[in-house]
Amino acid sequence: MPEKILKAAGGLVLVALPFIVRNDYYLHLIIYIFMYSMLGMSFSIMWKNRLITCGQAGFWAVGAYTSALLVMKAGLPFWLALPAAGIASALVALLVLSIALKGGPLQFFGMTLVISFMIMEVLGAVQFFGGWQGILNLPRPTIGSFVFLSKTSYYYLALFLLSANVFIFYALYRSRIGRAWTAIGASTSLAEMQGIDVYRYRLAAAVIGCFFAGICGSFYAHYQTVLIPNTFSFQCSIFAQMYALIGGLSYYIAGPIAGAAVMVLLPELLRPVAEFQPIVYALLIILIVVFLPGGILSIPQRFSVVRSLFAQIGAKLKGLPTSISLKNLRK
Amino acid sequence: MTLLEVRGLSKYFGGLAAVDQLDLDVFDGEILGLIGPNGAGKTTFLNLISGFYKPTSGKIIFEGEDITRLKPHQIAKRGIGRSFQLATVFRGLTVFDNVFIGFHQDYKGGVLGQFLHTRAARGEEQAIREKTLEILEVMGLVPLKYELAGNLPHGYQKILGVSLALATNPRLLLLDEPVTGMNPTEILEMVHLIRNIRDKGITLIVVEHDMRTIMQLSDRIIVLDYGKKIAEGLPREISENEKVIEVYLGKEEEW
Repeated sequence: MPEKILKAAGGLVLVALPFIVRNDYYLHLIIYIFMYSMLGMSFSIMWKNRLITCGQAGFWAVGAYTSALLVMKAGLPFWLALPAAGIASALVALLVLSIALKGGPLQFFGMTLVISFMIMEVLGAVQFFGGWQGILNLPRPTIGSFVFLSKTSYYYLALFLLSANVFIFYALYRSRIGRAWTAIGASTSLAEMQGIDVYRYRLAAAVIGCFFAGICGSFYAHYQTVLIPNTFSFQCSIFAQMYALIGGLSYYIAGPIAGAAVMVLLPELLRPVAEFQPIVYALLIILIVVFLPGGILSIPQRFSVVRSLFAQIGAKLKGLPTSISLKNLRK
Repeated sequence: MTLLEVRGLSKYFGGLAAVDQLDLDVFDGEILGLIGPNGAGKTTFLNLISGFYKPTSGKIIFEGEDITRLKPHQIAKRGIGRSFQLATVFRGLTVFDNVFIGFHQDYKGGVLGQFLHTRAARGEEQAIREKTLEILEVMGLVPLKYELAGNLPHGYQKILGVSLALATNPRLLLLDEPVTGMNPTEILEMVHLIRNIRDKGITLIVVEHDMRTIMQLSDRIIVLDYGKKIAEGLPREISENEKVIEVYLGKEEEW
């Protein structure tokens, strides 16, 4: 029961947040956290199958550009372009990754890396996609006569997309599909012997992940209203991995969200030393990998371990005087 | 009745024949022991049956169906379970979850119901939970069900590996060195468990180095050397077979 109350309270805070924060810049940051959370989760769903994708920026870009072109050139409303962007991204994933996965996780790793570079180069080189200058003045989403202009309206849109994403991933992880993914992540040969079609399940995870990366891209396009190919660089793919890593790789939903929050808010705190930002990021990653391999979400667990360790040492210390008591010494 | 027929099965690694023109039959309800010196091709043989290796030539027929070219998960679905040599379990999961996940192919309901967590899907899950407990009960793992599989002692990991294979509801179970590295008490326990499994109507092929155990356990024994079958028969016949003694102890001239 208390858990339910906590959840309801959390939900209420999220819904009421624009009225609590009342600052466009902070809302902007929160919208980015939501967006990057989705990107991080699309990495995590593949990581659950022990597949490492280095190309989430590429699939993000496919979604963003599909949506932008459908709205600008075909005149589709945003609400149709949004799912279309997800489907386009999923189709690209299906096409490329179904071949890459035949080779195994390493080929998958390489192929995602290559495809994300290729997508960026193609978007820049082909004039149809706007070239290196990108696409400007994307139309904003509308409902009837209401136009999504304010940060508050975008906040709710982002919140809706993130919640949908979280719910769908949660339902998947809870189902037998999620259990098959867990099995694959733990041992592919053993999973195979339990009758799990490892190839298919891995492909499904990759396609679903890329679908949501595409959805996220569509939102990004119509939020920024400007698309430049360089946004979708390799660095962005690495960042998607960092969200998951910093939050905690074994927390497939909460991890990327926590990680994205840290990675978006950290630069704000580092404003005064902006030129050292890459160094700080690097240090952060190293520190987390060395001292907190479970990510920041593992801190509570970690502390309980530390606490029990202290308790054990304490018990040992208390026990010491008796073990080297005079009685024993006389013997 | 013949459950598994192997005809002219060969597997070459480069020029080396790991399994060479092997013919054998496995009969319904028996425990077939498979022995031979290191490198005789025993594990390769299991990998061929379970689909991890594709044979260079030959045929594998299970219950009248040719399964030679099927993938491991398809073979598992047809009723061949397997435990691995190196105590392979899902290390990061609890004992209960290990077996629970193992029931993957038992779900009959649709994916959508699972996704929406409908009443039917929850009922199905509950049924599988109960089946999981049944297996843990039989294998004596109930007291350990919340332990992480990776933290279990070696012997229990092996038992858990067999439990996982049982979760696929097999008719033929392949055990790769089930008692290797176990102490005598654990070996007795494992022998008892394997007999129990057979009494439930599951046929077993057991690969093992421990001669005493295999002699005790098997109904029939096949001896491999350099991928070839050199002897076949009852345990007593095998222990008196000169060829087998030669293979295990070396020829007298060499001494």
